[in-house]
Amino acid sequence: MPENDTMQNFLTELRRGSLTLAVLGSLREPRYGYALLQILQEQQIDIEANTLYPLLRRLESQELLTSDWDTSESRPRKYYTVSAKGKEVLRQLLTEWGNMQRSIEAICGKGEDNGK
Amino acid sequence: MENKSTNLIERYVHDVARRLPEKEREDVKKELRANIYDMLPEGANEDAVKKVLYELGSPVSLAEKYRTHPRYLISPAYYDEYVGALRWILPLVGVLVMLIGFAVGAVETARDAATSIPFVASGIISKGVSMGISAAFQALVWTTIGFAVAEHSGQKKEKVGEHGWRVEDLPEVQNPKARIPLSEGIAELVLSVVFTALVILVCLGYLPFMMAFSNGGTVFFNIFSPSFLAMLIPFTLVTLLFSVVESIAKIKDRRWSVFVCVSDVLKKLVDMALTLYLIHQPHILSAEFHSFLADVGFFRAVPNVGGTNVIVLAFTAILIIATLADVVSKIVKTVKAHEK
Repeated sequence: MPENDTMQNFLTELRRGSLTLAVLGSLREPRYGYALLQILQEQQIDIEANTLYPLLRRLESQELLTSDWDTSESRPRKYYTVSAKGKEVLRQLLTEWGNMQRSIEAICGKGEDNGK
Repeated sequence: MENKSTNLIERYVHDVARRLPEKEREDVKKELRANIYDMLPEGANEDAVKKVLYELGSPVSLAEKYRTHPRYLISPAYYDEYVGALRWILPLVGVLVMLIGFAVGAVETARDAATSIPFVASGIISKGVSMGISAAFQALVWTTIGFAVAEHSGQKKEKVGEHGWRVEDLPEVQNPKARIPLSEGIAELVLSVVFTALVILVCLGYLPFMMAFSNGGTVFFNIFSPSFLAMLIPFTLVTLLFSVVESIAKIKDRRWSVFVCVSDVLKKLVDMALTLYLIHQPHILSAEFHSFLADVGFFRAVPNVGGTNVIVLAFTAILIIATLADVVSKIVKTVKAHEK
């Protein structure tokens, strides 16, 4: 077993690209930052607030998300929704995700008998 | 309490935003503030605020995550070239300016009419070392600024060929035997400058070049004639020029490259030509030394052959053979260094 730090680096690297997928997928309906964070964490996605908020901002600047400030409540909240461009990106990423999963399984075997 | 919590949040948000490009600051502040309040329960106390802020991490790291473009003075694309340039510019500039500093120090102590040797020596050395070090720092600063400007003026590195690079441009695998240590180039540079300075001082009569002979009591003679010494100065300067180019080539390339080889061979051939020309001059020796030699029967022991002294002829032959042998060995070395 590699040292903890090394292991953490492998995991972070492996997850990095998948976060975009998770965020785009969860924003088919409008959500604000903290609500999205809780949804992702409930789904066992390992993401922290300080990663999610900058990621939302980046995806918005890349026009994959649209946003709206809701000022009707006592606190203003920024709601994000996936844009048409974002949907297209999500579709392509999901296809690639599926391909990669098949390839990795073909190479390493299914989850049960790996590492043996 | 409420105020203190609000104040903490404002300070945090501000500290993150001030690290970002100006046009993004207000947006990020607004978003971050909203997110932080969402993460806090209604009427949260100061401890709860602290907990949330620690969860978000230090303002430095959060701002880093918000930044879309990595920040650096010199990007990885230029870094190798930057270090490569510093590796020869710094020692070269430092040593050259240090030598100039020695000269400046010598002139200054001479002007102050200093006579004590330790005082003169320390004046010269401290001037040279301080000028050399400050010049090396200047070179470091300006090289860095030059690369940073190239980096940030948006000049993307030029892509060559269809693939952005060419297999043909790959450097040859270097033969470790062809390496020239940095110290060699620097030592040659220092020695040739010091030697030239000494020769010029002799020629100008500041350092009398005399020999003592016991001839029924000790007699001092100036060995060389004044006309010969005057002629020597421009020759020495030309030699120095070629030596400096050769040393710079060695400091820059640090291996037997074509540039180093050519400058080395040129220097040797020029040296040889100038020396041959000089030793065949008619009036090398001073009149007094010449008559002294005649008196002790020197010219009878080593006679002239065809109008030229035997010593001069022998020296000529040795010089030509030695130079040619040296030139050939340097060319062979360079060719070997380029063999695959």
